[in-house]
Amino acid sequence: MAANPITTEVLRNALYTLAEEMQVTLVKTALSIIVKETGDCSCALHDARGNQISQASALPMHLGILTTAVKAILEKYGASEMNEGDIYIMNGPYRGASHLNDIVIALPIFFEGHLVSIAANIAHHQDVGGMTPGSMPGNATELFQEGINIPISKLYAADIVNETLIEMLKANVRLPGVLWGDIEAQLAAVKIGGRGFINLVKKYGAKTVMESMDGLLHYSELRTQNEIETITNGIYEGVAFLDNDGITFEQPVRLHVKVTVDDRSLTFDLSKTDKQVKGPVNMDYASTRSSVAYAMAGIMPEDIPHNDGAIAPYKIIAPKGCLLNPNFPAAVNARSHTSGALAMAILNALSQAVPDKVMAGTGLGPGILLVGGVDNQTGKYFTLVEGNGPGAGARANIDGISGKDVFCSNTLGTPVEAEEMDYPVMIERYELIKDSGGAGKFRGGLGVRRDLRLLTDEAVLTMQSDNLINAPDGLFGGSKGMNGSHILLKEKEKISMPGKCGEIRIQAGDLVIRNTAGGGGYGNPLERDPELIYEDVINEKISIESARNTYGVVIQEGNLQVDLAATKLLRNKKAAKSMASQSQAPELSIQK
Amino acid sequence: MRVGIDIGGTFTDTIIYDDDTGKLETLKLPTTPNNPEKGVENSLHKAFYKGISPHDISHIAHACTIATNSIIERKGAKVALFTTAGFEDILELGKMRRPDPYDFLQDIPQPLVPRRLVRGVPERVNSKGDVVTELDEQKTMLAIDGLKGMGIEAFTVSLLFSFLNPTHEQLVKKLILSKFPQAHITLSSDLIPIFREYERTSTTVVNSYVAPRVSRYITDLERSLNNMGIEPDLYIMRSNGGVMSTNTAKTQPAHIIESGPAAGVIEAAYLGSQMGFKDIITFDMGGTTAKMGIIRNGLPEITSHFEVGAIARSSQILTGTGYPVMLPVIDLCEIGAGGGSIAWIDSGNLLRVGPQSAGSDPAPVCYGKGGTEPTVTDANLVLGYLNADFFLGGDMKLDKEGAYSAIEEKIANKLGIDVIAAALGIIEISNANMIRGLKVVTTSRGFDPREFAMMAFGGAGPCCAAELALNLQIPKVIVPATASVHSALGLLSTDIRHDFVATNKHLATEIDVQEINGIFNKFSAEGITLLEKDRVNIDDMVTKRSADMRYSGQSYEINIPFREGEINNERLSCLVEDFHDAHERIYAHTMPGHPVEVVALRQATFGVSRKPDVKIYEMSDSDEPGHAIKDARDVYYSGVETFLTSQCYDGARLLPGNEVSGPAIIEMSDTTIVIPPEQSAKVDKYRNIIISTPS
Repeated sequence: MAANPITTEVLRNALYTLAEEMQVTLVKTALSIIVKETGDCSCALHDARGNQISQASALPMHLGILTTAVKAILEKYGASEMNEGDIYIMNGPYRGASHLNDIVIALPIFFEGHLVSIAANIAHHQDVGGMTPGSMPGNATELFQEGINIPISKLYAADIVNETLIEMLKANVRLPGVLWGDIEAQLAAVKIGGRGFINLVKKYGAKTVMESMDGLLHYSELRTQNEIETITNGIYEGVAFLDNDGITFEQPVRLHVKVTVDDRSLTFDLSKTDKQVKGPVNMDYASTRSSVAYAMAGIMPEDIPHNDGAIAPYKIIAPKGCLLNPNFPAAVNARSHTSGALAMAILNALSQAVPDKVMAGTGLGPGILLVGGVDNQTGKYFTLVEGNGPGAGARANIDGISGKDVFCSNTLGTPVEAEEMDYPVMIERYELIKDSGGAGKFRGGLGVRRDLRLLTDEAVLTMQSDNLINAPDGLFGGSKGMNGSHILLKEKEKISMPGKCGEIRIQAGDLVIRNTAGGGGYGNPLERDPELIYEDVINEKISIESARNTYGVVIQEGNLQVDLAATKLLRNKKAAKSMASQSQAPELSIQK
Repeated sequence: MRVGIDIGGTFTDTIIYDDDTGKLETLKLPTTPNNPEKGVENSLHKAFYKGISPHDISHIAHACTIATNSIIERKGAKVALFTTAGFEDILELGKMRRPDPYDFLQDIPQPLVPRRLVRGVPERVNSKGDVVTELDEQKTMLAIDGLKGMGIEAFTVSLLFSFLNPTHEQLVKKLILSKFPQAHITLSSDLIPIFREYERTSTTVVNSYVAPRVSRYITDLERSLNNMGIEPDLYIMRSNGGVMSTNTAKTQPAHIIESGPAAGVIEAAYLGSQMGFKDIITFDMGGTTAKMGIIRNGLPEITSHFEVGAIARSSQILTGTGYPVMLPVIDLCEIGAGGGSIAWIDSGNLLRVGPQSAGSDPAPVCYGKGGTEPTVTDANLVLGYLNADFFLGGDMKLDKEGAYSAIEEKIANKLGIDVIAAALGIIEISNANMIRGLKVVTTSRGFDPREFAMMAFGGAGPCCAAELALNLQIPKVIVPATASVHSALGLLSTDIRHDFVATNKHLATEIDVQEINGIFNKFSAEGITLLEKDRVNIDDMVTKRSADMRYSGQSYEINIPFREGEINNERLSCLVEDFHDAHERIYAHTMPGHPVEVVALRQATFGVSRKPDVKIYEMSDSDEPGHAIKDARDVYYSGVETFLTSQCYDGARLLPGNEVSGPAIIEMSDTTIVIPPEQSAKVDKYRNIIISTPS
């Protein structure tokens, strides 16, 4: 029988509230900065078949990502082999989870002896071993270098903990206390989920809850199909690039998507994307699925519940052995930029179909920096992880936002004061980069510069960024944003570092300068309202030179007034010069 | 006589209380949004008309929305911000996260200080509090000179690590004063000496942004009071539930951002303590929003994580859409749903309620003001909870047929269900929203709602409170007798409160008792000075001390009160014990062997005020409520699936001691209390109505 539309809505609220309670528990109890300050974790409730029903609004990268993991657990053990008091643990790109840092914890929930739901979560662990501190070696070429690989196992079997497994895990990581502290936080969260779900079943009855969970999947599917129907049928192609794979620096990595809109379904054919690469930018299938879901969630109405029903109308074709569905044991740790690039390729394709719902080229980010070593003040080992946001692409009617984590990770930045109190570093600069946003009728968001100086004798530096070579693209006549850069300033030399690099030894006093890319512009820069250009100049977003040379707006040095007459002349001249001059310089709207 | 004046969005409520006779006078006049002090004047004139003499008024406590409105309407001051050079974009960079990651078209809130008014000054203090780069005074003076003639109304100085070493901020202040002698300057190290530079800077900027307008308003208010011949001690309600002198309010107005909602919670705490309830969930539901708060052990829960001007979605506040203010504020969960929330069918054929609200214009269909979309209030009317002929005490007649056909046409027909099922659906979904908010303040924070009483006020709160209590198994619901002027009354129950904080990061095992006693003694000395200025007797001063604590490596803190008595090593080990317990309660686990850190020390110093006596009525001989029956009507309750004939009582005629068994309705002049079957209500000696939930 079909689920009741009212009870379904009531339970939608209740299940979402429960996922949020799990999320609050996990974030607040965790120990590592990356979970606590940056929130790199997600909690969800699944039905007994493994379909995700309700996910806390957490990290977009994790959208639906737990589904493949939970289904893999169900496949290995089967509902009949699961017992009350079991808790499962796993990680790994080749068994349904993601890069090795992401550890999955799952708790099967039983009611009157039947499996009714699975509460699960995934959290990024600060260090899972491998060749570099933080376990994200930008130069890894196989999975074994990236950390400990945890098969699907029972961490608890009927309430009995597997001590050997815990010892094994702790023995293979650099910060065993932090790892176990975060796993405990994950355990606390799934227990909250289990307890809360049983309360719902007791209140509404198992049958009603099951029907409503089905109802929610159907509901999201229906809403998504309805939206797809509003998009004109057709085939739309889009591309995006990564600078390189972190190993072969001169070779860009190409992502290609062919989106077919067919009435009420969408197909994402990724067959023409590059084959898997040597470096760690390959992306596991779970993350590929998640990235498609994320890009579409940003285009679809915000109130469609994020569950597996919302993803059901999407067909993904990702051949085995391609960048987006690699074969074991390809390295995958740096897949977060690949995820952004896939989202960007999809937006690029769909800009032809729904131009007012997309962003222009957006920095793939955040740029990640890891510094590990021994703090000679305390004598203790430390691992610092820090993100730095790029500029986002402009939209049809608004400028891009600056210096934010835009795509699939949506993490929080680390406060400078918190970072310096906990680690032997000093942040000497954290600011927007003038003129880094791509020009357009609407301007791309600005990139960010963050300078870090090492205050202890020696440390190992790892970096993961993109857009150092390929800057984010403009859209509909907008320009590219400015590309990013990595510079290591030593006492006597200035070293330009690639986007992805690991195992760089740095010494006390060395300065690491990180610039993230600016977002692409949207529309013809000559159509940008001179009033906005004026605001950009006085607020240090663009220079007077750029106002003149790129936007054709003349602003006088000194009094900073817009010279309207000169602007009109200059814009006309530029418009005439423009090869693709399908549009004239617009009427000037400024009145002064 | 003491007076409480609460300016809300619609009404200015005034309470006049005579400490000698215990007489209470209440007034409700329209708010005058453009110059709110006018509404205050009008209220007082009306009071004089009723025979109160201006000379008898010795004390006025006041809650206003002027600070919040300055931000929401973006009508604050032109502020210049000084940061450490290299960190000028701090306000725009914020916390790097986007408020809604799933919305590609979303923008972020524009900084309250545009970049062109930000000046970076070369200087640096490190994480130990040592100066590593001296302040470049020459460059700073140049920057200050450059602001001449720009019409700057207020200055903010927020430099890195100023909470450890404020000398550079103080020096910048001195330099600003040399060029702008009259300037209103806020230093982050004065207002909020605590780590996390974005939040600290944001808080300090908010203070500067609202200061000139708040200051003008208070000055105008003082003048008009003087003109009326009133020279009272004037106090302004703070967000933390205390009051402050007007002088402090003028320099630190960021403390009055949540002035209004705080008063309501304070009154709930006070009334609750009179009645013998120490643990209370407050539930304040109006037309467009609902606010939930927690009172524990007689004290409202306080938080230092708050965003002013944030967007409230149907079920939560969207963090990152407002401006962080890290000052103590009564911890309320606000959700954008209320009696006016509109019900609709979405494209997936699911019944939804909100986030759109009909508000007061066009208002619910049943108001007959042109609204066409069915709302929660319309569903309440159709189900028989509200009386079409006795809304707002009969001042307004409701259109029941209009409500019925709107629900029929817009909901029932589309879902293929009958109108009553549709109306009940609207209520159940609205209740699910409310339950979510109630869970945010209870279960999400480790509180068991079964151990609390719920106090329901606001126009729409008492209507669904009993049903919500049943859902969450909250044993008692209190509807206060003075529900309509609840917040204004709270102004007279509040104490003067000064908060102090110092960042002091140590492992609990390495704390030097002498050092922290030194810090607390300094707080106490400052507190005494401030309270003496407020003319508080030393006997009426009370201090409460606490510490923000966490497991080493965590970055969220829990505030743990010190137990009573002098702080020594034993108290410190109690503190750590209490931290483990609180961690267990909130997060369901502890880490016994793990090092514990104290991050900050806090002290609240209270000047305890005399509370109004809550009027006690004689208990009736009989619990029989028959004399107050107005009539009976058919009412449809959740879970019953048929209309039940319910007695309808006139709340004004119910006597203390009377008991009303559900199903029943109690009609008050400004709200309606619904008592579902199996629940019952009793009128207590204060004429509050207490609903019991079967366990």
